[in-house]
Amino acid sequence: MTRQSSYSRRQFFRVGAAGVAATVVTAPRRGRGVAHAAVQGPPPLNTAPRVLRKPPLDELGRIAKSYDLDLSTEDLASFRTLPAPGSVRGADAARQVCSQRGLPPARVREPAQRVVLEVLDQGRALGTTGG
Amino acid sequence: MMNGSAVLEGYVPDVDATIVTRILDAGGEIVGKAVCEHLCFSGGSHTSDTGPVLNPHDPKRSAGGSSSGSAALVAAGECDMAIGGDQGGSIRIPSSYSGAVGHKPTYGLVPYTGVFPIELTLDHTGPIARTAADCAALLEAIAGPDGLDPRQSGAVRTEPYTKKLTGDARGVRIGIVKEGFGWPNSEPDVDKMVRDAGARLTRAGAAVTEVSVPLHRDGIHIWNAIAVEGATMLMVAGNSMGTNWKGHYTTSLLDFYGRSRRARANDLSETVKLVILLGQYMQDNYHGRYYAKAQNLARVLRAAYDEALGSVDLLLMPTLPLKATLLPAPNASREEYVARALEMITNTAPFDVTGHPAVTVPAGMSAGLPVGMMLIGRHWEDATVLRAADAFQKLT
Repeated sequence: MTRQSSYSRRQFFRVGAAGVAATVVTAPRRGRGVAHAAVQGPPPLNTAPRVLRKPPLDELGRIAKSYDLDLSTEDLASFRTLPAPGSVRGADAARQVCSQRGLPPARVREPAQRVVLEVLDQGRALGTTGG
Repeated sequence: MMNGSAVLEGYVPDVDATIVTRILDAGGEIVGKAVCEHLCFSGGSHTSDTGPVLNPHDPKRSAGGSSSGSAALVAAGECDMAIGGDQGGSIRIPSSYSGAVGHKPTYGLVPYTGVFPIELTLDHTGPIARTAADCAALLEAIAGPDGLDPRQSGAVRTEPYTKKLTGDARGVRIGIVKEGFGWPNSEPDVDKMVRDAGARLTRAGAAVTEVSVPLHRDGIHIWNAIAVEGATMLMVAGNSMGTNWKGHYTTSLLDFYGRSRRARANDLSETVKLVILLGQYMQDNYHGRYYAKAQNLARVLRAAYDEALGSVDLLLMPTLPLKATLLPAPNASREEYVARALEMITNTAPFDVTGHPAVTVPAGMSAGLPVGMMLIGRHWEDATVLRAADAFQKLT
Protein backbone atom coordinates (compact mmCIF):
# COMPACT_ATOMS: atom_id res chain seq x y z
CA MET A 1 0.00 0.00 0.00
CA THR A 2 1.42 3.37 -0.88
CA ARG A 3 0.77 6.38 1.23
CA GLN A 4 -0.77 8.57 -1.45
CA SER A 5 -2.91 6.09 -3.28
CA SER A 6 -5.86 6.11 -0.89
CA TYR A 7 -5.61 9.78 -0.01
CA SER A 8 -8.06 11.46 -2.33
CA ARG A 9 -8.25 15.16 -3.05
CA ARG A 10 -11.81 15.21 -1.76
CA GLN A 11 -10.73 13.74 1.58
CA PHE A 12 -7.88 16.23 1.76
CA PHE A 13 -10.18 19.20 1.41
CA ARG A 14 -12.61 17.76 3.89
CA VAL A 15 -10.08 17.26 6.66
CA GLY A 16 -8.30 20.53 5.85
CA ALA A 17 -5.56 21.70 8.18
CA ALA A 18 -5.88 18.74 10.53
CA GLY A 19 -5.24 16.43 7.63
CA VAL A 20 -2.17 18.39 6.61
CA ALA A 21 -0.82 18.25 10.16
CA ALA A 22 -1.40 14.51 10.42
CA THR A 23 0.28 13.98 7.05
CA VAL A 24 3.33 16.00 8.05
CA VAL A 25 3.70 14.30 11.41
CA THR A 26 3.42 10.82 10.03
CA ALA A 27 5.21 11.37 6.75
CA PRO A 28 8.53 9.78 7.74
CA ARG A 29 6.80 6.53 8.68
CA ARG A 30 5.97 4.96 5.37
CA GLY A 31 3.32 2.36 4.99
CA ARG A 32 1.38 3.09 8.17
CA GLY A 33 -1.98 4.00 6.70
CA VAL A 34 -1.52 7.74 6.83
CA ALA A 35 -4.60 8.47 4.80
CA HIS A 36 -6.78 6.50 7.18
CA ALA A 37 -5.39 8.34 10.20
CA ALA A 38 -5.89 11.72 8.58
CA VAL A 39 -9.50 11.07 7.65
CA GLN A 40 -10.31 9.92 11.16
CA GLY A 41 -8.90 13.06 12.75
CA PRO A 42 -11.35 15.58 14.24
CA PRO A 43 -12.68 18.16 11.80
CA PRO A 44 -11.18 21.62 12.04
CA LEU A 45 -13.18 24.01 14.17
CA ASN A 46 -14.23 26.15 11.26
CA THR A 47 -16.30 23.33 9.84
CA ALA A 48 -18.42 23.04 13.00
CA PRO A 49 -22.04 23.96 12.26
CA ARG A 50 -22.72 27.63 12.96
CA VAL A 51 -26.18 28.09 11.54
CA LEU A 52 -29.22 26.49 13.10
CA ARG A 53 -31.07 24.70 10.35
CA LYS A 54 -34.81 24.55 10.68
CA PRO A 55 -35.32 20.87 11.51
CA PRO A 56 -36.38 18.95 8.38
CA LEU A 57 -39.71 17.23 8.85
CA ASP A 58 -38.32 13.79 8.09
CA GLU A 59 -35.69 14.24 10.77
CA LEU A 60 -38.29 15.34 13.32
CA GLY A 61 -40.33 12.32 12.28
CA ARG A 62 -37.38 10.03 12.93
CA ILE A 63 -36.84 11.61 16.37
CA ALA A 64 -40.55 11.31 17.21
CA LYS A 65 -40.51 7.65 16.24
CA SER A 66 -37.42 6.99 18.36
CA TYR A 67 -39.36 8.31 21.37
CA ASP A 68 -42.50 6.33 20.44
CA LEU A 69 -44.43 9.47 19.61
CA ASP A 70 -47.09 9.19 16.90
CA LEU A 71 -47.07 12.61 15.27
CA SER A 72 -48.51 13.42 11.86
CA THR A 73 -46.68 15.54 9.32
CA GLU A 74 -49.02 18.41 10.23
CA ASP A 75 -48.15 17.99 13.91
CA LEU A 76 -44.44 18.02 13.16
CA ALA A 77 -44.80 21.08 10.95
CA SER A 78 -46.62 22.99 13.66
CA PHE A 79 -43.97 22.14 16.26
CA ARG A 80 -41.42 23.71 13.92
CA THR A 81 -43.14 27.10 13.88
CA LEU A 82 -43.97 27.68 17.55
CA PRO A 83 -42.87 31.09 18.83
CA ALA A 84 -42.19 30.32 22.50
CA PRO A 85 -38.99 29.66 24.44
CA GLY A 86 -38.15 26.00 23.92
CA SER A 87 -39.09 26.31 20.26
CA VAL A 88 -36.96 26.46 17.12
CA ARG A 89 -37.13 30.26 17.22
CA GLY A 90 -36.13 30.21 20.86
CA ALA A 91 -33.26 27.87 20.07
CA ASP A 92 -32.08 30.13 17.28
CA ALA A 93 -32.07 33.10 19.66
CA ALA A 94 -30.06 30.99 22.08
CA ARG A 95 -27.66 30.06 19.29
CA GLN A 96 -27.12 33.71 18.41
CA VAL A 97 -26.37 34.62 22.01
CA CYS A 98 -24.02 31.66 22.38
CA SER A 99 -22.24 32.51 19.13
CA GLN A 100 -21.83 36.23 19.79
CA ARG A 101 -20.81 36.23 23.42
CA GLY A 102 -17.22 35.52 24.30
CA LEU A 103 -16.47 32.71 26.68
CA PRO A 104 -15.27 33.53 30.19
CA PRO A 105 -11.52 33.71 30.63
CA ALA A 106 -9.89 30.52 31.84
CA ARG A 107 -9.24 30.46 35.55
CA VAL A 108 -5.69 31.44 36.50
CA ARG A 109 -3.89 28.42 37.84
CA GLU A 110 -2.60 28.51 41.38
CA PRO A 111 1.20 28.28 41.60
CA ALA A 112 1.03 24.87 43.26
CA GLN A 113 -1.12 23.51 40.42
CA ARG A 114 1.24 25.00 37.89
CA VAL A 115 4.18 23.15 39.39
CA VAL A 116 2.30 19.86 39.21
CA LEU A 117 1.28 20.53 35.61
CA GLU A 118 4.83 21.45 34.66
CA VAL A 119 6.11 18.22 36.20
CA LEU A 120 3.50 16.28 34.27
CA ASP A 121 4.39 18.08 31.06
CA GLN A 122 8.07 17.33 31.57
CA GLY A 123 7.21 13.73 32.30
CA ARG A 124 5.23 13.47 29.08
CA ALA A 125 8.08 15.03 27.14
CA LEU A 126 10.43 12.41 28.59
CA GLY A 127 7.94 9.64 27.99
CA THR A 128 7.75 8.78 31.69
CA THR A 129 4.08 9.53 32.27
CA GLY A 130 0.98 8.55 30.45
CA GLY A 131 -1.27 10.90 28.51
CA MET B 1 -47.47 10.27 42.44
CA MET B 2 -48.24 11.78 39.04
CA ASN B 3 -46.04 14.84 38.63
CA GLY B 4 -48.93 16.16 36.57
CA SER B 5 -48.71 13.36 34.03
CA ALA B 6 -50.84 10.29 33.39
CA VAL B 7 -47.57 8.63 32.41
CA LEU B 8 -46.76 8.35 36.13
CA GLU B 9 -50.27 7.50 37.32
CA GLY B 10 -50.15 4.55 39.69
CA TYR B 11 -46.56 5.00 40.77
CA VAL B 12 -46.12 4.94 44.55
CA PRO B 13 -42.68 6.07 45.70
CA ASP B 14 -40.94 3.65 48.04
CA VAL B 15 -38.94 6.40 49.75
CA ASP B 16 -39.74 9.87 51.03
CA ALA B 17 -37.93 12.84 49.58
CA THR B 18 -35.40 14.27 52.02
CA ILE B 19 -37.49 17.42 52.42
CA VAL B 20 -40.59 15.39 53.36
CA THR B 21 -38.66 13.60 56.07
CA ARG B 22 -37.32 16.92 57.34
CA ILE B 23 -40.78 18.52 57.43
CA LEU B 24 -42.14 15.57 59.41
CA ASP B 25 -39.13 15.62 61.75
CA ALA B 26 -39.71 19.33 62.35
CA GLY B 27 -43.30 18.67 63.44
CA GLY B 28 -45.03 19.51 60.17
CA GLU B 29 -48.16 17.72 59.03
CA ILE B 30 -48.50 16.67 55.39
CA VAL B 31 -52.16 17.34 54.62
CA GLY B 32 -52.07 16.24 51.00
CA LYS B 33 -50.44 16.28 47.60
CA ALA B 34 -50.92 19.19 45.25
CA VAL B 35 -51.41 19.11 41.49
CA CYS B 36 -48.52 20.36 39.39
CA GLU B 37 -48.02 20.78 35.66
CA HIS B 38 -47.25 17.98 33.23
CA LEU B 39 -43.74 16.87 34.26
CA CYS B 40 -43.52 20.46 35.55
CA PHE B 41 -42.75 21.83 32.09
CA SER B 42 -45.16 24.78 32.05
CA GLY B 43 -45.48 28.18 33.65
CA GLY B 44 -49.22 28.11 32.98
CA SER B 45 -51.67 25.93 34.91
CA HIS B 46 -53.40 24.16 32.00
CA THR B 47 -51.14 21.19 31.24
CA SER B 48 -51.80 18.79 34.12
CA ASP B 49 -53.58 15.58 33.15
CA THR B 50 -55.98 16.07 36.07
CA GLY B 51 -57.25 19.32 34.52
CA PRO B 52 -56.42 23.00 34.84
CA VAL B 53 -55.72 24.64 38.19
CA LEU B 54 -57.90 27.72 38.62
CA ASN B 55 -56.59 31.02 39.90
CA PRO B 56 -58.01 31.73 43.39
CA HIS B 57 -58.69 35.36 42.38
CA ASP B 58 -60.37 34.60 39.05
CA PRO B 59 -61.26 31.02 38.09
CA LYS B 60 -61.08 31.83 34.38
CA ARG B 61 -57.41 32.60 34.73
CA SER B 62 -54.21 30.65 35.19
CA ALA B 63 -52.92 29.96 38.68
CA GLY B 64 -49.43 29.83 37.20
CA GLY B 65 -47.12 26.85 37.09
CA SER B 66 -45.53 24.56 37.37
CA SER B 67 -46.19 24.31 41.12
CA SER B 68 -49.73 25.38 40.31
CA GLY B 69 -51.63 23.49 42.99
CA SER B 70 -49.14 24.41 45.71
CA ALA B 71 -49.50 28.17 45.20
CA ALA B 72 -53.26 28.06 44.61
CA LEU B 73 -53.86 26.01 47.78
CA VAL B 74 -51.72 28.36 49.87
CA ALA B 75 -53.34 31.48 48.42
CA ALA B 76 -56.82 30.00 48.96
CA GLY B 77 -55.97 29.21 52.59
CA GLU B 78 -56.27 25.43 52.19
CA CYS B 79 -52.87 24.90 53.80
CA ASP B 80 -50.26 27.04 55.52
CA MET B 81 -47.24 26.18 53.43
CA ALA B 82 -46.37 24.16 50.36
CA ILE B 83 -43.36 22.90 48.44
CA GLY B 84 -42.61 23.83 44.86
CA GLY B 85 -39.96 22.98 42.30
CA ASP B 86 -38.28 25.71 40.23
CA GLN B 87 -36.33 25.18 37.00
CA GLY B 88 -37.56 28.18 35.00
CA GLY B 89 -39.63 29.94 37.65
CA SER B 90 -42.03 27.25 38.83
CA ILE B 91 -42.11 28.36 42.48
CA ARG B 92 -42.25 32.07 41.70
CA ILE B 93 -44.62 32.05 38.71
CA PRO B 94 -47.63 30.45 40.46
CA SER B 95 -46.88 32.43 43.61
CA SER B 96 -46.97 35.65 41.58
CA TYR B 97 -50.10 34.76 39.59
CA SER B 98 -51.94 33.48 42.68
CA GLY B 99 -50.78 36.03 45.25
CA ALA B 100 -48.45 34.01 47.48
CA VAL B 101 -44.85 34.32 48.61
CA GLY B 102 -42.55 31.85 46.87
CA HIS B 103 -38.85 31.46 47.55
CA LYS B 104 -36.41 29.80 45.15
CA PRO B 105 -33.43 29.08 47.37
CA THR B 106 -29.79 29.32 46.40
CA TYR B 107 -28.90 26.42 44.07
CA GLY B 108 -28.01 23.44 46.23
CA LEU B 109 -29.27 24.87 49.53
CA VAL B 110 -32.24 22.49 49.70
CA PRO B 111 -31.66 18.84 48.76
CA TYR B 112 -33.54 17.72 45.68
CA THR B 113 -33.30 14.04 46.56
CA GLY B 114 -36.55 12.20 45.81
CA VAL B 115 -38.09 15.06 43.79
CA PHE B 116 -38.78 14.46 40.10
CA PRO B 117 -36.10 16.43 38.22
CA ILE B 118 -35.94 18.32 34.93
CA GLU B 119 -32.31 19.34 34.55
CA LEU B 120 -29.58 18.76 37.08
CA THR B 121 -28.08 22.26 36.91
CA LEU B 122 -31.47 24.03 36.96
CA ASP B 123 -33.32 22.00 39.61
CA HIS B 124 -34.36 23.87 42.77
CA THR B 125 -37.00 23.13 45.39
CA GLY B 126 -38.30 25.50 48.03
CA PRO B 127 -41.17 26.95 50.04
CA ILE B 128 -44.43 28.69 49.12
CA ALA B 129 -46.48 30.37 51.86
CA ARG B 130 -48.64 33.40 52.51
CA THR B 131 -45.86 35.24 54.30
CA ALA B 132 -42.10 35.53 53.98
CA ALA B 133 -41.90 34.58 57.65
CA ASP B 134 -43.59 31.24 56.94
CA CYS B 135 -41.26 30.70 53.97
CA ALA B 136 -38.33 31.31 56.31
CA ALA B 137 -39.69 28.78 58.80
CA LEU B 138 -40.14 26.12 56.12
CA LEU B 139 -36.75 26.86 54.59
CA GLU B 140 -35.16 26.47 58.01
CA ALA B 141 -36.64 22.97 58.25
CA ILE B 142 -35.61 21.74 54.80
CA ALA B 143 -32.26 23.44 54.05
CA GLY B 144 -28.87 21.78 54.40
CA PRO B 145 -26.88 18.96 52.81
CA ASP B 146 -28.21 15.40 52.83
CA GLY B 147 -25.17 13.72 51.32
CA LEU B 148 -27.27 12.23 48.51
CA ASP B 149 -27.84 15.09 46.06
CA PRO B 150 -25.21 15.99 43.44
CA ARG B 151 -26.63 19.52 43.28
CA GLN B 152 -25.18 20.08 46.74
CA SER B 153 -21.52 19.68 45.89
CA GLY B 154 -19.36 22.20 47.69
CA ALA B 155 -20.07 24.05 50.90
CA VAL B 156 -23.76 24.54 51.65
CA ARG B 157 -24.30 27.48 53.99
CA THR B 158 -27.47 27.54 56.08
CA GLU B 159 -28.66 30.18 58.54
CA PRO B 160 -31.41 30.46 61.15
CA TYR B 161 -33.67 32.20 58.64
CA THR B 162 -36.50 33.06 61.03
CA LYS B 163 -34.10 34.71 63.44
CA LYS B 164 -32.78 36.96 60.67
CA LEU B 165 -36.20 38.57 60.13
CA THR B 166 -36.01 41.96 61.83
CA GLY B 167 -39.27 43.37 60.53
CA ASP B 168 -37.38 46.11 58.71
CA ALA B 169 -34.85 46.48 55.91
CA ARG B 170 -32.53 48.94 57.61
CA GLY B 171 -29.12 48.98 55.98
CA VAL B 172 -30.23 46.87 53.01
CA ARG B 173 -29.23 48.35 49.64
CA ILE B 174 -31.62 47.45 46.84
CA GLY B 175 -30.99 47.93 43.11
CA ILE B 176 -33.95 48.10 40.76
CA VAL B 177 -32.75 46.30 37.63
CA LYS B 178 -33.80 48.40 34.68
CA GLU B 179 -33.58 45.47 32.22
CA GLY B 180 -36.22 43.58 34.21
CA PHE B 181 -38.85 46.05 32.96
CA GLY B 182 -40.27 46.82 29.55
CA TRP B 183 -40.26 43.40 27.90
CA PRO B 184 -42.32 43.22 24.69
CA ASN B 185 -45.11 41.51 26.66
CA SER B 186 -44.75 43.63 29.83
CA GLU B 187 -47.97 45.09 31.16
CA PRO B 188 -47.56 48.77 32.11
CA ASP B 189 -49.50 48.38 35.36
CA VAL B 190 -47.19 45.55 36.45
CA ASP B 191 -44.04 47.56 35.78
CA LYS B 192 -45.44 50.61 37.55
CA MET B 193 -46.67 48.70 40.57
CA VAL B 194 -43.31 47.00 41.08
CA ARG B 195 -41.36 50.27 40.74
CA ASP B 196 -43.70 51.87 43.29
CA ALA B 197 -43.32 48.88 45.61
CA GLY B 198 -39.54 49.15 45.34
CA ALA B 199 -39.71 52.80 46.28
CA ARG B 200 -41.91 51.91 49.26
CA LEU B 201 -39.13 49.73 50.64
CA THR B 202 -37.33 52.95 51.61
CA ARG B 203 -39.99 53.30 54.31
CA ALA B 204 -38.71 50.03 55.75
CA GLY B 205 -35.21 51.48 55.91
CA ALA B 206 -33.77 50.22 52.62
CA ALA B 207 -31.67 52.35 50.29
CA VAL B 208 -33.15 51.94 46.82
CA THR B 209 -31.30 52.83 43.60
CA GLU B 210 -31.43 51.79 39.96
CA VAL B 211 -28.84 49.40 38.50
CA SER B 212 -28.21 48.01 35.04
CA VAL B 213 -27.40 44.39 34.11
CA PRO B 214 -27.55 44.34 30.28
CA LEU B 215 -26.89 40.59 30.09
CA HIS B 216 -30.17 39.97 31.95
CA ARG B 217 -31.91 40.42 28.58
CA ASP B 218 -30.00 37.39 27.22
CA GLY B 219 -30.57 35.25 30.30
CA ILE B 220 -33.68 33.66 28.85
CA HIS B 221 -31.75 32.49 25.78
CA ILE B 222 -28.97 30.98 27.87
CA TRP B 223 -31.63 29.20 29.93
CA ASN B 224 -33.34 28.00 26.77
CA ALA B 225 -30.24 26.29 25.41
CA ILE B 226 -29.63 24.55 28.74
CA ALA B 227 -33.23 23.63 29.48
CA VAL B 228 -34.18 22.13 26.13
CA GLU B 229 -31.21 19.81 25.65
CA GLY B 230 -30.65 19.19 29.34
CA ALA B 231 -34.28 18.24 29.98
CA THR B 232 -34.33 15.93 26.98
CA MET B 233 -31.22 14.14 28.15
CA LEU B 234 -32.14 13.83 31.86
CA MET B 235 -35.91 13.96 32.16
CA VAL B 236 -36.76 11.96 29.04
CA ALA B 237 -33.86 9.99 27.57
CA GLY B 238 -32.33 9.56 31.03
CA ASN B 239 -35.66 8.39 32.49
CA SER B 240 -35.46 11.15 35.14
CA MET B 241 -32.16 9.95 36.61
CA GLY B 242 -29.50 9.94 33.92
CA THR B 243 -25.99 8.84 34.74
CA ASN B 244 -22.62 10.21 35.82
CA TRP B 245 -23.42 11.46 39.31
CA LYS B 246 -23.04 10.04 42.79
CA GLY B 247 -25.96 10.01 45.18
CA HIS B 248 -29.36 8.42 45.60
CA TYR B 249 -31.04 7.00 42.50
CA THR B 250 -34.71 6.14 43.05
CA THR B 251 -34.72 2.85 41.16
CA SER B 252 -38.46 2.22 41.53
CA LEU B 253 -39.12 5.50 39.71
CA LEU B 254 -36.67 4.54 36.98
CA ASP B 255 -38.38 1.18 36.52
CA PHE B 256 -41.87 2.65 36.37
CA TYR B 257 -41.25 5.81 34.39
CA GLY B 258 -38.76 4.23 31.99
CA ARG B 259 -41.40 1.77 30.82
CA SER B 260 -44.40 4.02 31.06
CA ARG B 261 -43.01 7.01 29.17
CA ARG B 262 -42.47 4.74 26.16
CA ALA B 263 -45.75 2.86 26.44
CA ARG B 264 -47.71 6.11 26.89
CA ALA B 265 -45.53 8.53 24.92
CA ASN B 266 -48.54 10.01 23.17
CA ASP B 267 -49.93 11.08 26.55
CA LEU B 268 -47.02 13.47 27.11
CA SER B 269 -47.95 17.16 27.01
CA GLU B 270 -47.37 19.38 24.01
CA THR B 271 -44.62 21.23 25.87
CA VAL B 272 -42.77 18.02 26.68
CA LYS B 273 -43.12 16.78 23.08
CA LEU B 274 -41.71 20.09 21.86
CA VAL B 275 -38.73 19.77 24.18
CA ILE B 276 -38.07 16.19 23.04
CA LEU B 277 -38.16 17.06 19.34
CA LEU B 278 -35.94 20.10 19.64
CA GLY B 279 -33.60 18.80 22.31
CA GLN B 280 -32.84 15.58 20.43
CA TYR B 281 -32.49 17.49 17.16
CA MET B 282 -29.91 19.79 18.76
CA GLN B 283 -28.03 16.82 20.19
CA ASP B 284 -28.05 14.91 16.90
CA ASN B 285 -26.98 17.83 14.73
CA TYR B 286 -24.86 20.03 16.97
CA HIS B 287 -23.48 17.42 19.40
CA GLY B 288 -24.35 19.41 22.52
CA ARG B 289 -22.42 22.45 21.29
CA TYR B 290 -25.06 24.99 22.30
CA TYR B 291 -25.76 23.35 25.63
CA ALA B 292 -22.02 23.49 26.34
CA LYS B 293 -21.66 27.11 25.29
CA ALA B 294 -24.70 28.10 27.33
CA GLN B 295 -23.24 26.42 30.41
CA ASN B 296 -20.05 28.40 29.86
CA LEU B 297 -22.07 31.58 29.44
CA ALA B 298 -23.95 30.77 32.65
CA ARG B 299 -20.76 31.69 34.48
CA VAL B 300 -20.64 35.02 32.65
CA LEU B 301 -24.29 35.64 33.52
CA ARG B 302 -23.67 34.84 37.18
CA ALA B 303 -20.68 37.19 37.20
CA ALA B 304 -22.83 39.98 35.73
CA TYR B 305 -25.37 39.68 38.56
CA ASP B 306 -22.60 39.28 41.13
CA GLU B 307 -21.01 42.48 39.89
CA ALA B 308 -24.29 44.34 40.41
CA LEU B 309 -24.60 42.65 43.80
CA GLY B 310 -21.22 44.13 44.68
CA SER B 311 -22.74 47.59 44.99
CA VAL B 312 -26.18 46.57 46.34
CA ASP B 313 -27.41 43.76 48.58
CA LEU B 314 -30.50 42.83 46.58
CA LEU B 315 -31.78 43.18 43.03
CA LEU B 316 -35.43 43.96 42.36
CA MET B 317 -37.65 43.54 39.32
CA PRO B 318 -41.15 42.29 38.42
CA THR B 319 -41.38 38.55 38.99
CA LEU B 320 -43.30 38.26 35.73
CA PRO B 321 -44.07 40.78 33.00
CA LEU B 322 -47.73 39.78 33.16
CA LYS B 323 -50.61 39.27 35.51
CA ALA B 324 -52.45 35.94 35.37
CA THR B 325 -53.58 35.19 31.83
CA LEU B 326 -56.81 33.52 30.70
CA LEU B 327 -56.69 29.73 30.72
CA PRO B 328 -56.62 28.31 27.18
CA ALA B 329 -59.82 26.60 26.10
CA PRO B 330 -59.69 22.78 25.95
CA ASN B 331 -59.64 22.97 22.15
CA ALA B 332 -57.00 25.71 21.99
CA SER B 333 -54.43 25.56 19.24
CA ARG B 334 -50.99 24.12 19.94
CA GLU B 335 -49.59 27.64 19.47
CA GLU B 336 -51.80 29.07 22.22
CA TYR B 337 -51.22 26.08 24.50
CA VAL B 338 -47.45 26.47 24.31
CA ALA B 339 -47.48 30.28 24.47
CA ARG B 340 -49.57 30.28 27.67
CA ALA B 341 -47.13 27.77 29.13
CA LEU B 342 -43.85 29.57 28.47
CA GLU B 343 -44.48 33.27 27.79
CA MET B 344 -43.78 34.59 31.28
CA ILE B 345 -40.36 33.24 32.26
CA THR B 346 -38.04 36.03 31.06
CA ASN B 347 -37.25 37.39 34.53
CA THR B 348 -37.42 34.18 36.52
CA ALA B 349 -35.46 31.69 34.36
CA PRO B 350 -32.05 33.45 34.42
CA PHE B 351 -31.78 32.90 38.19
CA ASP B 352 -32.30 29.17 37.75
CA VAL B 353 -29.26 29.29 35.49
CA THR B 354 -27.14 31.30 37.95
CA GLY B 355 -28.51 29.82 41.18
CA HIS B 356 -29.07 33.13 43.00
CA PRO B 357 -31.78 33.04 45.69
CA ALA B 358 -34.96 34.82 44.58
CA VAL B 359 -38.28 35.42 46.32
CA THR B 360 -41.55 36.73 44.92
CA VAL B 361 -43.76 38.74 47.22
CA PRO B 362 -47.14 40.26 46.32
CA ALA B 363 -46.61 43.94 45.49
CA GLY B 364 -50.33 44.69 45.27
CA MET B 365 -53.41 44.05 43.16
CA SER B 366 -54.19 45.45 39.72
CA ALA B 367 -57.48 44.80 37.93
CA GLY B 368 -58.32 42.33 40.69
CA LEU B 369 -55.19 40.24 40.11
CA PRO B 370 -51.97 39.93 42.15
CA VAL B 371 -48.71 41.44 40.94
CA GLY B 372 -45.45 39.90 42.14
CA MET B 373 -42.21 41.69 43.00
CA MET B 374 -38.99 39.65 42.89
CA LEU B 375 -36.00 40.22 45.17
CA ILE B 376 -32.72 38.49 44.30
CA GLY B 377 -29.71 38.10 46.58
CA ARG B 378 -26.16 36.81 46.65
CA HIS B 379 -25.56 33.08 46.84
CA TRP B 380 -26.32 31.70 50.32
CA GLU B 381 -27.79 35.04 51.45
CA ASP B 382 -31.36 33.75 51.40
CA ALA B 383 -31.84 35.34 54.81
CA THR B 384 -31.37 38.85 53.39
CA VAL B 385 -33.83 38.13 50.60
CA LEU B 386 -36.47 36.88 53.04
CA ARG B 387 -35.79 39.69 55.50
CA ALA B 388 -36.54 42.34 52.85
CA ALA B 389 -39.65 40.46 51.69
CA ASP B 390 -40.85 40.22 55.28
CA ALA B 391 -40.19 43.93 55.85
CA PHE B 392 -42.17 44.77 52.72
CA GLN B 393 -45.11 42.65 53.84
CA LYS B 394 -45.10 44.40 57.21
CA LEU B 395 -45.44 47.74 55.40
CA THR B 396 -48.59 46.71 53.58
